[in-house]
Amino acid sequence: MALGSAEIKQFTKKTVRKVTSSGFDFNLLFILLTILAFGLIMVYSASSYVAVRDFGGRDYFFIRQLRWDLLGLVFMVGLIFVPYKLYNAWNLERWIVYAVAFILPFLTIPFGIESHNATRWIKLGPVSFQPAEVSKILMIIFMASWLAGIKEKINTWTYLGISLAFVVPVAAVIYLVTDNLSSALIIFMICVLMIFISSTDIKKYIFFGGLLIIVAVIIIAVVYNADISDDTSFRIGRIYTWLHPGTAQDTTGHQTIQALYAIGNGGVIGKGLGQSVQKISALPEPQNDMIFAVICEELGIVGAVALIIMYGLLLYRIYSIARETKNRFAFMVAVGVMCHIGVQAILNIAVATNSMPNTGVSLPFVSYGGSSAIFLLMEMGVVFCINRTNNREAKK
Amino acid sequence: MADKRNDSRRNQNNNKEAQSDRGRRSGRQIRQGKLNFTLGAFVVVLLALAIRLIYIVNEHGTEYQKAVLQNQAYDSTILPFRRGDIVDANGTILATSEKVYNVIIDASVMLTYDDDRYFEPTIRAIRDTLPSLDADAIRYYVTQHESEKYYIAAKRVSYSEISQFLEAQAENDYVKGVYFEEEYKRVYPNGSLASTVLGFTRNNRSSEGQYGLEEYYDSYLTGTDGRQYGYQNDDDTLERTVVEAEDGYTIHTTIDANIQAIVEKYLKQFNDEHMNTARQGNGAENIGCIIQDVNTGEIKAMAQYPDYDPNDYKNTDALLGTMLIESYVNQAGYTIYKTTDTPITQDVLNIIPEEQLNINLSNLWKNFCISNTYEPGSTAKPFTVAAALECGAITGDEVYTCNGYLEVGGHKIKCHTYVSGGDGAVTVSDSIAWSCNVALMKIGQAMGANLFCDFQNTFNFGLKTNIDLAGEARTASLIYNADDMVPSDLATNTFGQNFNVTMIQMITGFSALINGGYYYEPHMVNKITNSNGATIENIEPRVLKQVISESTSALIRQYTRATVMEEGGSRRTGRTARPAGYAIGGKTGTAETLPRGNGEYVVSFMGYAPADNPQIAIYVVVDRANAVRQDDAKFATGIVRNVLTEVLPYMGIFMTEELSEAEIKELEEKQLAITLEYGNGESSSSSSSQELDYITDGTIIDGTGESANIYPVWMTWPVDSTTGYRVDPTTGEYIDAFTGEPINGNSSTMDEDIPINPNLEYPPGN
Repeated sequence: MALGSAEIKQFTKKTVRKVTSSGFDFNLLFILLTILAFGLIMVYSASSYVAVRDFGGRDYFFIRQLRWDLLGLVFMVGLIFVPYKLYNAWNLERWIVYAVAFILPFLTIPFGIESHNATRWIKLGPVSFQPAEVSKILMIIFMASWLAGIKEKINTWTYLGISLAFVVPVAAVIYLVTDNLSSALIIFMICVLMIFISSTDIKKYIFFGGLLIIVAVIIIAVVYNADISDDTSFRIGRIYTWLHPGTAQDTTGHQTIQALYAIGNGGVIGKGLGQSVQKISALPEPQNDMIFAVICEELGIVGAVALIIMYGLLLYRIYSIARETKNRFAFMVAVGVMCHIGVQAILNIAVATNSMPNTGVSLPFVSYGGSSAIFLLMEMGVVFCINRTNNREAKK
Repeated sequence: MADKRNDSRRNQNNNKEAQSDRGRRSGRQIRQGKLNFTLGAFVVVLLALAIRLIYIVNEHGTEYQKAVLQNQAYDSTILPFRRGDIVDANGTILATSEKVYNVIIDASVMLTYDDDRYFEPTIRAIRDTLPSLDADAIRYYVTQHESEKYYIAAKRVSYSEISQFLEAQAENDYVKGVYFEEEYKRVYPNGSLASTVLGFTRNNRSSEGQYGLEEYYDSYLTGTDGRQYGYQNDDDTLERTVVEAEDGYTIHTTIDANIQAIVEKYLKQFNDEHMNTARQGNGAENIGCIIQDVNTGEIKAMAQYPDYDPNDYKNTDALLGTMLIESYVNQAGYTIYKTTDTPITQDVLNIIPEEQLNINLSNLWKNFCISNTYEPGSTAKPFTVAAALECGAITGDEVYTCNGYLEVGGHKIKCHTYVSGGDGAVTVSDSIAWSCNVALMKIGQAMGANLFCDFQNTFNFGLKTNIDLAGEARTASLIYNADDMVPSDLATNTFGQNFNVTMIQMITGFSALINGGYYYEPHMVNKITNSNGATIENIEPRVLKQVISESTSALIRQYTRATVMEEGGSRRTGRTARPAGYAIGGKTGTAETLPRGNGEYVVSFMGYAPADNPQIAIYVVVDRANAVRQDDAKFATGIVRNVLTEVLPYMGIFMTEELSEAEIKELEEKQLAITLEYGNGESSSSSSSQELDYITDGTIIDGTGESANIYPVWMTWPVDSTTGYRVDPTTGEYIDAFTGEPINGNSSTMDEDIPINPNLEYPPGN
């Protein structure tokens, strides 16, 4: 059955009209694809030296990342057509989601892969992934469902306490079992932000915010004047080196100071794509947590600020979708995803610029890593699904 | 656009809700306000981070950039290229590069652990296996500079010195923090052999060739450095990626190291014999010798004394015996270098300032054969005669009358036979063989200034020969233009006074006179190969021009042969240059230096061999010999004779002349001396035998009375005890025992009233 050219033309026209008038957020899609493509190029550039050195092919990391990105996009497109209400269909569901988020990190004990002195990966058959990444998306779903369920009760001290009581154990498990403080912190921050937005109360949060600032200042002041010896915990050591960059170059501060060197070396317009020197030996795993430093070195302030603007736009588009939705669960999910991306991007860039103590956070959609890429793209799939649902409801 | 539409739609929704449920609306609005706040906070933090980036680049950009460069220097090492060799015509290595090692101490690695598990074993290994290093000094340095990663503990150590340490390092894993950086050191295996031809490299490194071939062919000899990128892998071991270095090209010179060695041996011998005789210091201020292939222009040997050892070119011991050079600024503001009468001794070296020491050293490094200019004297006569023959001013059949002087332009210009009343009737052949100035002046007058100057140009006087060596002197201002030439200038020019030349100009021109008139560009290098031995460039002999015809060349060969061989008669001046058993041609030269009348002379001999089939040209210049009377061409002919006696057999050229008994005896003694020399390496034996030669020479003439007409009146005159010359009882003049020439003859040819070329006073080449 051959289609005539006229029919094809008509079909194309129809499809285009259908798509453009559907209200589908193409801005968001293009921003996302741009960051993904940019990330792939930077992974290639940052990793090629290590890839040749350790894996005998300069595109080793690039090909793998490309595969994961494509797989993630497939999941994303699939999730657009799965009604988000399915995630919040019956009461018991949220408890199953929560239970999985809580139990998953424990699976690293029997099925874990050790790497960098920490067991953060689970290998199940051919698939290996970071349970912390899965817990992030599951906790967003759980918190959205829980907060949508309790509605305005969140304004009471009791429910605020109960909500936090759900968050803390999961964060604690991730920190204690997989020794991954940064993921624990990220989950905690996402959930706290979701609770904050969900409630209509303000005074409590001003109080908490003030308290947090005071505690942080005290910790900083104590560590700043601390006498660092070898048996100090490495977390405190990291705070110390953050406050005194360059003092302990060969231990904890090495990574941070090398990232700063990379930024300084890049200058305003950078050394040119592929021209980073620091990625060769000074920056450990340049394609991973420290990829932002490589971007700064190769593309300069110009490239780095361009990426920051792209993140800003991405957050703004997710924010718009959140605002449009009337479904409280969907609203909270979109908020959670926005917070997830925002918090992670900010933490990563803050570490690279020595604006906060060093902790391993990947740069969303850019850093090398399968779990992070796939689950973040799945989150984006849910956001697109919310966008699609909003449009359908608006049309009615 | 879509956003706006969405916004308006949302506002409509809000309005609808506002009407239905006021309480819910306010809750929703607060939530949305909080969402706005959160997004705003994200954006503000992102902005702050962007500003932080700009701050980092602005405040610390250069500092961090430097740090990155330092990191790089530590993480990547340069793989030094190997400078190409210089080899002689037989493949003997004249200059080569040797791998040496710099010992680098990395204190931070040694002190990795507080329990000194690396430190102590490493220091112990240094103490036990690197005796040239001070282990205690290194221990002290490391403890004082704990984070130092790059401390050069020793430079340019040979492999044999570090091999033991490498073994110790391989056996003991705790020996850490010492590594070796490769470098190449320029080495001249034959010491001072051909030093001024080769030149040297700055600090004996691989680049920056200075003087001679090293400078001229620097771009060929120099290669490109490679690079080795090192990095620390997870196991703390160093892994490397390598970009190989590209080695320099090898230069094949036309120099034959054996001929060069023979020449240098006799130059040195001359120096040793004449050292400290009339004055303190060397046997002559400069002695130079070039041997050139007559038929290709290739240089087979180019030597000078004093010379130096390019392996240790800053060693001031080489200056001992030379005349101290002073510099001062003249009224016009130019820096003038002036040779003083003070010979350099150890005491002088101790007191002169460093700048002056450097001036003297750089003078020593100059190649006398191409960089110094001087008045050639009578060796210019063949050129004058060739020019006159070539342009038809004379036919060769002329006979001139010499009364001992000629009046030119109001000046009385004398012949060296002035005292004895002149040469009488002089043929063109005799004018060269006897070196008659009067005949030459008449030949010059027959040509006229224009033709004479044209031929100066033809013979390349005043022009560079473009020999492939650095530092050839410019002589353009040191010869006359026809317009500026007064008759007395032409007259003195015909016999080689009042214009300056370089040795290379003279011998290259002379080769052309001999080989049929073909002026070859003189050259030192005939092949360039890469480090694998593949030929990069072949440099073929190049004829630049034909300066005279074959028939004129044949006449010049005949005249110069008569200067040395029997057919020249008793008054021939070059007999003492003839090596036993060979027929050669040539011309002596005795030139008075400036200022006139102070008894300082440049004597020389320029010849070719063998006479019937010229192969090589040889030119020896003795600049201001250390003798009571400097104006004795035998200083030069003696060297030529000695050199040719060894070089001609070495080149496989057979003897053509009958040997007298005395000559056979002499050769046997010389053979014995050579055997002794190579047998026990004592050079003193050869020099003592040389003294014997001179005595033998005297015996030949006195005892055998080889030819009756050289047993004339002066042989009965008394002998001066210091110089060995005969003394004329009536005039008190010194008379050469062999030729009967007054030894100071030439001094009378250039009376002080004869105008001199004003440009020669401080010629640029000196």
